[in-house]
Amino acid sequence: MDNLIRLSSVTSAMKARDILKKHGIYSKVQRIPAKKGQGACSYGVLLKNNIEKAVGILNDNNIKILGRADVL
Amino acid sequence: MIYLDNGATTFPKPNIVTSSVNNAMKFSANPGRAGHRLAIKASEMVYNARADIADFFGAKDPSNVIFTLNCTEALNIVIKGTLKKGDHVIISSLEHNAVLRPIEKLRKSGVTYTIAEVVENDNEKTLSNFRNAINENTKLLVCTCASNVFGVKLPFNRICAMCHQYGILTCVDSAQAAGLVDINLSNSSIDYLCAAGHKGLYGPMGTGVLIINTDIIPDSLVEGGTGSNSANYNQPEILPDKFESGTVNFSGIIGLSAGISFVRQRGVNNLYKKEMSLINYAYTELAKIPNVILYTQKPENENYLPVLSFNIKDKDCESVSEVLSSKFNIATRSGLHCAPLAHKSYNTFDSGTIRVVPSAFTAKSDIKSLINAVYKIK
Repeated sequence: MDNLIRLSSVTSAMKARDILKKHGIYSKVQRIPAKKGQGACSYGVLLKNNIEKAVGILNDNNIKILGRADVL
Repeated sequence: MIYLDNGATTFPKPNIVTSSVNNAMKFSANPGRAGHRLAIKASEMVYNARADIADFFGAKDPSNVIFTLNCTEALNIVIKGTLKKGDHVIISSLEHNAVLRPIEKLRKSGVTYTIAEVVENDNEKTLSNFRNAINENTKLLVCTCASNVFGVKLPFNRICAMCHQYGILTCVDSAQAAGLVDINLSNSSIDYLCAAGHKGLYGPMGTGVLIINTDIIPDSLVEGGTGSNSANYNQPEILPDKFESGTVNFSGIIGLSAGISFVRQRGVNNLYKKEMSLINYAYTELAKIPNVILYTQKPENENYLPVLSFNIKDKDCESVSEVLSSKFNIATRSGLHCAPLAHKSYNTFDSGTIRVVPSAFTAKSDIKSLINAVYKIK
């Protein structure tokens, strides 16, 4: 199962990906399907593992996280 | 053609710029809109360009690099997005209409402004004039790095540092300077840096950037689709989305990034030295020609950019420029150069001037051809 971190924009997602890469965590930028009440049109980073560590790193770098999800 | 109108836009462009623009057209899906492979690839290319530009100017975050149509749009965002009724703004006596006109428009709705005189080759007096222009309502300083007509450089870093001491926001117009002057936002007091992409950065026309180097974010001038948080009726506050409504100039942005790589490769200081050498040669030789009028001191120190204005006594500048073009195949720019304040400062408002600006591709032989042509015209 992959983990998805939802971010505010494609720029934010790419910046997050680059920050995570500097910390040895590899992720992929992906568009996130719209869900009711969550606001359509967003992007995020998809990770295989290290989700908690990744969230901590992004928080430390002031990257606003809009949500998390498991992806089958 | 001998092209000496590089102050308007550099020409030719480096091969890497042309090939990058062509290459970008192959990935021309809309960046930041969809999730398919081509759109993500395009988004990646725009992000890389943003990161390149942030690095080039020492900006802390690629998100703070806003792509604009040109330097004028960047300046309008800062000026109109920052100033409100009752605010006061300081500008220099050498500003372009890109600064003067938006501020003059705001004057009609209660913004006041003061023009601080730039004293050529005397940075202390210039700094003092800016300090004397401050009042209790001063919110913003907007100044050019250097005159687009006379090449006279302002001590912009010192002016910005002084303004910060008074809590005044600072905006610098680097239209003529970016690519020729080392601008490092990480150790400067510049809050908003505006740059043209198509001049000294060698990108395509239709490109410019605004780099925000402060937490104080202007209001947006244009709202619309950003590809982010689309369910919300309100413009997003996040950068760069707040200022990039609608589809961006994708191929232009990629070309701009390539232009910056060209500048990096040549070196900002090397380009400056080379072009200043050409302008000094032009100045020296033009000064020997009877009836040629030069307006500045000899531009032989760091207080100048490679921009030179001249006239021929009793000849109209437009006519001289036209003859240079039609008889000698030399491209120059005549008139007021969209900078009436600068021309008033040098008493050339009524006459205009002929402007010569070299680029990385200008040879000494090009300047010699200009000198020979002026000899024949005078």
